[in-house]
Amino acid sequence: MKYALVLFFAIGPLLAQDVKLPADIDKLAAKASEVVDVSLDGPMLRLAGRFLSNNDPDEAKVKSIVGGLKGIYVKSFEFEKEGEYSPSELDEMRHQLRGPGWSRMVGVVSKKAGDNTEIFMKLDNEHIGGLVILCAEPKQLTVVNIVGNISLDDLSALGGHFGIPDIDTGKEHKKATKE
Amino acid sequence: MAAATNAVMGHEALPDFASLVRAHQAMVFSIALHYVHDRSAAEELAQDVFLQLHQSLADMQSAEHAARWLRKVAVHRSIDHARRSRFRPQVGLEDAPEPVTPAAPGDPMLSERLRRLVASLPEKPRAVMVLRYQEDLDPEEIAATLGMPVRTVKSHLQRSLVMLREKAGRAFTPAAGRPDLSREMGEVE
Amino acid sequence: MSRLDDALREAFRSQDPGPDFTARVLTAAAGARPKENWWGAPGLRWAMAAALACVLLVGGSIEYRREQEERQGRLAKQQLVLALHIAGTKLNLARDRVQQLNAGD
Repeated sequence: MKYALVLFFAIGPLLAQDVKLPADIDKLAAKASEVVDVSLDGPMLRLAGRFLSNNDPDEAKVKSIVGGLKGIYVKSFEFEKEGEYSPSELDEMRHQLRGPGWSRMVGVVSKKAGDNTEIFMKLDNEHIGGLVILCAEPKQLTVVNIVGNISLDDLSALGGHFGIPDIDTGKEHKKATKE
Repeated sequence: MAAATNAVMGHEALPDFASLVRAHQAMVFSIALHYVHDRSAAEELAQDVFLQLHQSLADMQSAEHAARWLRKVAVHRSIDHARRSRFRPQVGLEDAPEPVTPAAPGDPMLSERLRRLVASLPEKPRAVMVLRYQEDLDPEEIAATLGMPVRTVKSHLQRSLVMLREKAGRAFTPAAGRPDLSREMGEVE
Repeated sequence: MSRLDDALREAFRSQDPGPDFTARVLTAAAGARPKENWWGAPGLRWAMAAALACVLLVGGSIEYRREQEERQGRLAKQQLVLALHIAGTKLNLARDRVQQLNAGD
């Protein structure tokens, strides 16, 4: 049993790194009026980092953070009207994110606004080893996957920079669900 | 002085070169200035544009054609200049003072900050923003001027405004609370 | 029209280049040398063209590679900033919803 547990925790982080987008999600591009598709792996992040200025406080901070990341992947589809995608499009990802290593930190549904936002983190001791944001809005579907070592303090320090909000690392993460 | 040149095509006479310079110098100079954010470079660029017009005057079909030609050449020359100058950045965002109090539209500091922020955009979005907000062109006209699809123009506008809202949006921030800038600023048409 | 739109239109109002701009342009136009005289004698023209072509070929490929890398790097930087902006926007959205929920408790 002891060995089985060790094996479980050894494999867990490895399994938790590979979060795959649904294979057919790109079909949504045909119906979308606006598509954002960003895929920056390690080498591209390092290349981008070379063009971030040390003289600009925003860019300098981003540069220091990007150094610890292995990849940033974003898919966002914006539609002309509601109902152009099924909420179940992201079920496959949610299933992966319920695997070992990942924790669902925030899940909030607003019936009034019609959106559902979930934030998953892969926790690796004191650091976030990965961050996934799934955001389903009436006319927009967004998936963000940040892979690598990013600390809550660094994320908090980016508050107000490039749109990343303050996250108070002192407060308990709240799981808020209103169905 | 330059010889006056009149080309009569159809029902409209092309103004002489001096008249064209006087009529459009503000437009040409301002496109260059707002693009490269360097007054002396913009004057030089504007002069080059008009010298090019002088050599191409025989090809102008009307006053309106000349105006459109000037606008197009001014933008493309500005883009070329910026490419040549890329290792000698003319403006850095670190020079832009961060407003510490909320600013109202018409505030010179805010205007300067917005101009610097636009000057820091990549070349194509920058050109789109200048044509939109200086020349008040609609996306179709911008697309024709820059030779890009209308959808790309709209995309550049959208993304540029999103970034400007974030960076300059603090200038519109009330003293307390985090504003919902998208609701305050409205969306691009 | 949004406040940002108003502010941008105000910021990008046309400006005059200066009172003597027109005179400078007209003077320059009057004194501009015709393009046809630029190359000089035909033999010299071809020799210069050949020499220029060699220089451009060598320098051009080095410059091209550098330009390519610079273009890719700037594009990657734009995408990085866009990606982080989108991530931040959605985190903001989640936080807003949580705050609304708590306010309603």
